[in-house]
Amino acid sequence: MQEQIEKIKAEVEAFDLNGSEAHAEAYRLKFLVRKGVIATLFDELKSVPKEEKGSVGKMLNDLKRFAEQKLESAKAATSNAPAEESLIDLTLTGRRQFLGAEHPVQKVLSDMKRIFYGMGFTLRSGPEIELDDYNFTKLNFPAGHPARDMQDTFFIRKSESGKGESGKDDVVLRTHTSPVQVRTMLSEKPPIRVICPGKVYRNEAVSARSYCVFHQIEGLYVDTGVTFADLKATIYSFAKQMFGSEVKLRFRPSYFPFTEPSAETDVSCYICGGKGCKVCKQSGWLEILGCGMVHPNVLRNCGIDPEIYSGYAFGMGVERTAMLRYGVDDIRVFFENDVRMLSQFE
Amino acid sequence: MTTEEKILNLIRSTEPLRSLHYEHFRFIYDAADRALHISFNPDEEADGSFFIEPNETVIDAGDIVVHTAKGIVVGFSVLDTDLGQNENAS
Repeated sequence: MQEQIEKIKAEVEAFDLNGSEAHAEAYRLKFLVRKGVIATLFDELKSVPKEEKGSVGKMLNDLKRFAEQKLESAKAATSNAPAEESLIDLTLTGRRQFLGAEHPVQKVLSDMKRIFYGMGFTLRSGPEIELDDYNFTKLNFPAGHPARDMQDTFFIRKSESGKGESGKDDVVLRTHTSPVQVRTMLSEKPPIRVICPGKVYRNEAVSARSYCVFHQIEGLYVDTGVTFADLKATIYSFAKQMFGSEVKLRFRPSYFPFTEPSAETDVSCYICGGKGCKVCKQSGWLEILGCGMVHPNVLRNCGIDPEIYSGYAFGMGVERTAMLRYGVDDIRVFFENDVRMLSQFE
Repeated sequence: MTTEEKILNLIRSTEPLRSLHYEHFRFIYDAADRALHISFNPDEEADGSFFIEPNETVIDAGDIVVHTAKGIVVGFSVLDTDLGQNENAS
């Protein structure tokens, strides 16, 4: 009987399951079913001499266990599902799904666009790498204007003609979104009522108050009979919607090469109500934008007759508005993508 | 002590049988083989067997082979035994 068990064990070992379910089933039918080889050996146990039954019975148990383990191993190898199931730990706690959120700068920009859309403005965009001609010359920047200096502008290509002089072939990273206005006036006929949001670049030292790249949004309205009163009404309506209906406006005379007359606009500090606080530096006023009537030279440079048409333009920094709105005192945090900061705006 | 009582004692003193849940059992003595066969479920045909090793039982009634169906114990046989030779009962 022992010899028979050894022989069958050798057969079990030698049986090639071949990684297929058909072979595994053939193996099971031969060795492990009721009428199989091993069960038959158990039936024959009664005929084994009593003194050998213990050892033979133990050998049979070992043989059966060995045959069953071989089949289980083969099944696990042929079926991926049980293996994958074993990798799933149902007792693990769930993972939180983190949702992204609109960047605070984009949030402010979206609000601005929404307000201007409501006033009939449409959106225009242009390239960030811009010709000097569109960025400066057509906007009435005189030769030698400080903005043309390499201290303030990132030049992609600079002519050899020398510092401070305009070169038609010079290529710059746009320093404002005004060249989009130029492109619009060159390609469209009045009436023009557009806003031009986008990134602009300045060759400035990075600090808490300034950064080498930031967002601007500019507006342009060109038509017959456009006056400064229209500009004031537009800015007033925008400020009320953006900063609250209680804010007051102040226009201070200023200078920009591309507008005449020009003004800078302040709103009464909506945090302290004009009484003076840290945000408004105790002045009670917050500077929000620059504006003015489009300079006749600019209209002329863009093929629009200033004797027939007039227009106004305004522009503001989006980051500055976001800093005021959210009480952020360092512009750099808008560009560092620190999740601890951004998650506050979810 | 009746044969049923002896069988109950055997079940209670044999490790793999002790925790069995059953309502009743039947037994038959095979005089030719000197074997006592006990069945917990006559309707279920066994499809496998295993041998109870001597250290798993405290009563030396004989060698025990347990019969299973789909891994569940449905009966057992006691080999080389005189237990139950005088009566067949159910």
